[in-house]
Amino acid sequence: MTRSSISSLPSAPRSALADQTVLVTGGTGFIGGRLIEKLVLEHGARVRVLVRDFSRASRIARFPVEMVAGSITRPDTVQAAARGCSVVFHCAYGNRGTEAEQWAVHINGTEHVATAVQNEGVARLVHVSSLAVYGKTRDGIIDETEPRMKWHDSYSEGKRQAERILLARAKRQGLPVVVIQPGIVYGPHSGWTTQPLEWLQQGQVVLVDGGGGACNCVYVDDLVEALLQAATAERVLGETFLISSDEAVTWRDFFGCYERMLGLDSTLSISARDCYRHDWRARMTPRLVEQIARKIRTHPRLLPALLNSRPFRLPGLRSVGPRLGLTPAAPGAISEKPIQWPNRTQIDLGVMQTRPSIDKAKSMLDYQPRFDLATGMARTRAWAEWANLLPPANPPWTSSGPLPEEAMARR
Amino acid sequence: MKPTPPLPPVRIGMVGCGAIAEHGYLPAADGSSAASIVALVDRDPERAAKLARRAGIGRVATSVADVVGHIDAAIVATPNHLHAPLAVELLAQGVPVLVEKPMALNTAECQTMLEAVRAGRTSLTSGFVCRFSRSARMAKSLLQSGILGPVRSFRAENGCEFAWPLSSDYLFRRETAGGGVLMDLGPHVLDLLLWWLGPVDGLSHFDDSFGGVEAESLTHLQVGTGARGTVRLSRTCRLQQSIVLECQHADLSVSLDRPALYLRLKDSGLHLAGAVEEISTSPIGSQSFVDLFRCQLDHWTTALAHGLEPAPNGEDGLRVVALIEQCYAKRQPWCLPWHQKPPSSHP
Repeated sequence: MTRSSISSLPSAPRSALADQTVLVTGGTGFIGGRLIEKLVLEHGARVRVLVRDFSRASRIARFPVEMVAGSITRPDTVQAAARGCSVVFHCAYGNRGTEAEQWAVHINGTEHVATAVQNEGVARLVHVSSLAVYGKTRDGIIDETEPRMKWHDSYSEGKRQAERILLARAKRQGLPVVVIQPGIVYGPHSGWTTQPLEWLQQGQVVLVDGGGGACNCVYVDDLVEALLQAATAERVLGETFLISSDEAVTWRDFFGCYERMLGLDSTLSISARDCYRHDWRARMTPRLVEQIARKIRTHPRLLPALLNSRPFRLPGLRSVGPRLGLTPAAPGAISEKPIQWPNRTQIDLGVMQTRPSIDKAKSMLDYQPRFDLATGMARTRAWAEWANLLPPANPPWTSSGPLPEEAMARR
Repeated sequence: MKPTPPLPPVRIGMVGCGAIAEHGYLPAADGSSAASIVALVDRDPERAAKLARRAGIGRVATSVADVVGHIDAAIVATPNHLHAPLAVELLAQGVPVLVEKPMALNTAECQTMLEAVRAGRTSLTSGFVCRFSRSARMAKSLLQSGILGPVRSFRAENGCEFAWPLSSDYLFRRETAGGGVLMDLGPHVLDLLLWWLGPVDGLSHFDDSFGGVEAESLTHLQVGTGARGTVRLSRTCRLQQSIVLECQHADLSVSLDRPALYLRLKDSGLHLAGAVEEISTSPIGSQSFVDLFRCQLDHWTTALAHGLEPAPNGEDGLRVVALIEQCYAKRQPWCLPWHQKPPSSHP
């Protein structure tokens, strides 16, 4: 079907991107997917998408986009895809495979995109970075001049390095890049929507120190508007822009919205100190277990003494004995709704009181966030209901649990 | 009296070596005594050779003409737009064909295929593998017996996050796939409804395509008996995977992903949930994806060996394609609430 035969498109004012050929990397992901929807429906752009895995392309295949098989880890495919484009939106990042594979997407992929933009004379590269590039930074309001810092996780580090590569090229070689740094992006198809809904149903979600930390969320449509503005605004090359909503939202507010969607009260407050302790134990336990197992293998007669040894009396190892089948589980040890403990980065996020200033984006990109938490979550709820992520008002009477004979077979 | 010797297995040519051949037909034939896949055909010889090595198949070709003299029947499991031309080529030479769903891109192609069946004096089977699930067969028997009373309404849901291993975008282009989720998951669900409830009298259809192929669809149907219902299909969200039939005396829910039925008798306060088993075998519980393909292969090849008309036949395939064609002809955009214009100013 051709673009001219699109009958469902709402009439839109002439956009600077109308009839422009644009390339989107990471177009099968959640931000890239929404960007493509808006590029086609509201801007009339000719969209090309570099697709690594076609099984993830259902959402963008609804539009008359050109899907090009390839990967940003293969420079030839990136170069071919960038040919004839006026804008490249770089939304891809490594979120699958081994750490080395993820790194190849983050770093090599970003290098390839930058090279393709320069070689093919693309007028602008809009790069989706993250607030995470600032690491565990100071409390208070920060702007784009804040120093970037290394954090624990590969996502943050990948984003930091990718941004560093692009800004260095902008400075030295005139790469026409604009960097956008959003906070927590939520909305339809977002992991910050699907996962909280899942966590809250499966267990109790920890609000670090009561959830008073700054969430810095932004509804996906506001971020996409910022990306679109970055593609056409004047005098912004080589600039970075922090993007968030216009209101102060805490983690308690954020998770409270999802609790209300689900009709559940499923969060609990735990101090940051206890969270960090638990995280330390969770990371250390596998090492200790391995050491203990090695001892038992080489000196089986040490087993009774080991079971009475200090490590087995540590609170963090209470569950190790039962898991190994060495000691009976304590009554109530396996809860119906287990606590969903945060990892180190999530604890940091939970306690930080950092708030990004979006003044620069407002003045240079004419960025105006349209969604506060209430309106963004209302849209999110509409999608979640439609996507069967919320318990139905009238549950179907058919069982989705195991059949009687399947349950019997498990006993 | 001497026992009849078992018939030799039907020699099958597998045309198309994509995921359905690899994960469905080849393992199914591996466990079948009635069918033997003896040749693989694919335009990518490396792909065909790789599967042939793995399955121990000796003959590999890039065109059906190269295998016709060496096979008794053929399965066509290529991208949708190649179903009709390849099936016609085989049928014209008298080779019985089982063609994957959808039978073709449109009814005109289906008619050409049926003409080739008549001209070649052979047979055409539609690959509606869901008909071979024990739950679907049990539902057919229950409905046919009349003990549930007439069907008043129905609700079908089938879908999950799309994860079929694809090596190209053929399933996402209208010219090669014929459509989106309706053309992909729709044939199975619509075939079951037509098989159980009879022809459709009226319909309305909504989907989320904006010039590409839809990922979501919602179809309202009315069948000849007056029963009305909906069919919701999705490539992005996990749906119920069942067809619920509200009948006069009971509600019947038929699982689409396991051999299970749920029956709730009206006014009794009781319901029955259980696995459907074959009387002739000891209980085996699950019925895997490959098991379904094996049932289909056995049914098809047994019919061929005895000179019987295999079911579901080409007319069944045509009926489904005709219904899908009507849906697309009456398509209305499905307005998604989160796609509305943003609030005009900051709230």
